Amino acid sequence: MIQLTVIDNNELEDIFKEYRSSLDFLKTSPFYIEALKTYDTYLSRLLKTIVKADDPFYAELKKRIAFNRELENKLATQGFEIHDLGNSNPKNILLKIVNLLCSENNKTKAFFDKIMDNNSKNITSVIISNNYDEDFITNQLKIIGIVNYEIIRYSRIDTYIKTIKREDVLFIDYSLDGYHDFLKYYSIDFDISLVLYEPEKLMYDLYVKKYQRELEVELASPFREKLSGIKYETTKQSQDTRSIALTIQSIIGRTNDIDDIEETEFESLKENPEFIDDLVYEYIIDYEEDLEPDKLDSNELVFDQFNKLVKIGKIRKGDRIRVYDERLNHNLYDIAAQEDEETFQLIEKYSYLWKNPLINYYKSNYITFQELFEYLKGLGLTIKDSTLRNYIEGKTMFPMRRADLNAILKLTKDQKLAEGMTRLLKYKRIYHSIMISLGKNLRGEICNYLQTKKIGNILRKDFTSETLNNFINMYMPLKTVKKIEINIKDEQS
Amino acid sequence: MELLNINYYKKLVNKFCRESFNNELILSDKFIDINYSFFDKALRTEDLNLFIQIPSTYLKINLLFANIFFKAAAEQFLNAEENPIYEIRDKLKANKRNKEYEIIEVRDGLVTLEEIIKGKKSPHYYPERHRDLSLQKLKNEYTKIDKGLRKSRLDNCRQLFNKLFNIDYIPPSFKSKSIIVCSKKIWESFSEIKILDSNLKSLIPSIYINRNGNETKSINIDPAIYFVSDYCTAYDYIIKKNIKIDNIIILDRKVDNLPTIIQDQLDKKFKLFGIVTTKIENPHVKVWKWLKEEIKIINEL
Repeated sequence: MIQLTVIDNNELEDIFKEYRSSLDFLKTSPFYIEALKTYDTYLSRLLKTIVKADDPFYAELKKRIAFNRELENKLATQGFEIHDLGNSNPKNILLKIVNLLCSENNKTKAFFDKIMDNNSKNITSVIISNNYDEDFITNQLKIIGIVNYEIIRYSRIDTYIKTIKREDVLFIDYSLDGYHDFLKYYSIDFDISLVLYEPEKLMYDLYVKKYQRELEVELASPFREKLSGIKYETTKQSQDTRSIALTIQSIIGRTNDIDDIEETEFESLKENPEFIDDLVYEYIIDYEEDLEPDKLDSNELVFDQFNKLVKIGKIRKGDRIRVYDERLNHNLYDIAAQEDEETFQLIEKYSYLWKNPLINYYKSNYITFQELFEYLKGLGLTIKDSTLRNYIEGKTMFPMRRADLNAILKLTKDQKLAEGMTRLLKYKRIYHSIMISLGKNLRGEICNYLQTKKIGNILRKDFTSETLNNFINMYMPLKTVKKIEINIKDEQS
Repeated sequence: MELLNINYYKKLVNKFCRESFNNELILSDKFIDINYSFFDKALRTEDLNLFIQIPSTYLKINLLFANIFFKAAAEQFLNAEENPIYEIRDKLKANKRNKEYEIIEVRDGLVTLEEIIKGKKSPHYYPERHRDLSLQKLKNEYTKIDKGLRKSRLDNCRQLFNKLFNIDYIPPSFKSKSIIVCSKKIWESFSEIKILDSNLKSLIPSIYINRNGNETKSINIDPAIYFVSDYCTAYDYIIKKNIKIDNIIILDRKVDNLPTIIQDQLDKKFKLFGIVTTKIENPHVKVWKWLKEEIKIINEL
């Protein structure tokens, strides 16, 4: 049974109304802007966060919103600028919402209150967390002193349920991403508590109505009557109160697109809220020691001098860090493929979808590698020639950027690639999300090794204590941060 | 949530639950039994590719699949070879003795067997020979096997045939087969389903074929059912070889390639049935979608 804990927040509701009005204002003359898709994803991401104000999440989100140009570009096509909107400026209002939630942390409080409440009643909290929040939750619970809990991923719910022996568990989630998770939560036989803001609660109501409609459609379906020979008599008419909830749904954007997607892709989106836009936010770190600088993604973790994993956004000049060496990941693919054969078969299939035309084109057109590189560059290729060589040698699963995929498509004009492009992008995402998750486990093992010298299961496959020690000293030495530079790279669509 | 019309479910149970379901050979419940009957009906209805959708959190999914597997096997047993062909070098096991034999001569419809020596015997041991046995005698007293096999295994299997069809022999082969597409874990979970004095996996002759074509047998006799983890494997290692297939049953697999399967169906004329946990849509299949509330109501009736 789903139980809702709805956060009472008048100020949020007021600003939300203001935000909605500003979007409605854009729809009318003379702007005629129907929607701001990127803003929808930011809002959706914001509403489900539970980290505290000092987490780099808020600063980064504000930077992304500030950097974002969807509104400005759409206004420009009509000949307007953003200050023409006056006070009805969604960008500013959205930033106000970010500041409000950042300073209040109401969802965080409600979430931990629920866990403490469970704890006092000897109920085990089973927390459904995503990649981003897990560390924060674990640390907080340690500080509060709660041990009676478990954290699981959304994609592991079905497996987990089969192993539950006790009755006294309560599932907890603090976001509702779409109809998919609503359905899953609705159908499990255990109690689940959802900690939601009022706008999210309105979406929940929408899903309940949608489910009821689906129920009625299925029960009354002609096929059911034909197969069973029995007609279902409905007991009452359903009401059609979709209007308000639909507006809300349309501005907590992701959910709108999400309803028709497949389960595996939904899982990867739910578990990896970092994939919210195409911006790649990069940290470039220079060191005091005579070592190469590092380029790291904004959601990467590094080891501090106490051998703890910390977010790169929290590192300051003068800190000493170790940076994870990607070579440790070489086994991860095989491990992941064993865990989920079906998905990995599909991942491999779509990986060949772009590789084969590229390699065939190269081989059958009697061109040199340099010529291939030049042609592709002319069609928008963004990578270096050494990376292209990796592509040709089949060493890469998927190109990082869509621009590179598009260049390959334009050059080879491969029909299958064109038709399969949407699915390819989907499996590229799924692949990256699984590898990130596994990578986290491996990083966790390195962390554990650095702190306790114990070698975990994944590491054990490749290292002894001595060889691991050597590896770390050679490839992951402690380095002193001299300078940090932040770059936003726009992935072209 | 709206209250459902209980009478509808009472009617469903009355019509589709077998009266004897509680006394059947495998454990079942009302919900599972209704699906068993739907499966049966689908097999007998022309031009119906039935898919049943259930919630992904349904807990008794292994038991449901076990019942479907059992039904599929029973259907195949109906197509068992009644008039077997015996050839030189075929291996047979005596039903009443723990001995195995090889056919060394076939002449004028009569067969001569020679014992396959197992274990240590004295150097003067002369292998048994049974000369000029009629086909009828072979059929009644011996079972065709592929490799060595424990007598108890065969006895249990024969007992199953007996319970189902009142015959006291195991057919040497099945004229046609069925294919079940499911994960290997499901196939292995059938060893936990009790039936007679043994378990479902050990009693029904089946083969699991992996993506590379490697075969694992459940019993060393001709299989009634092939298990594969995806349709492509089925196509490459079974269908392409023109083995006659009666039914293809899909259990909890994503069916991305439904159009391909339908296309092959036009050619090879098998029946298609499935139980899935995700949405499925195709103009050539009909879907019955069970909702969580219904399952609860049915089992509580």
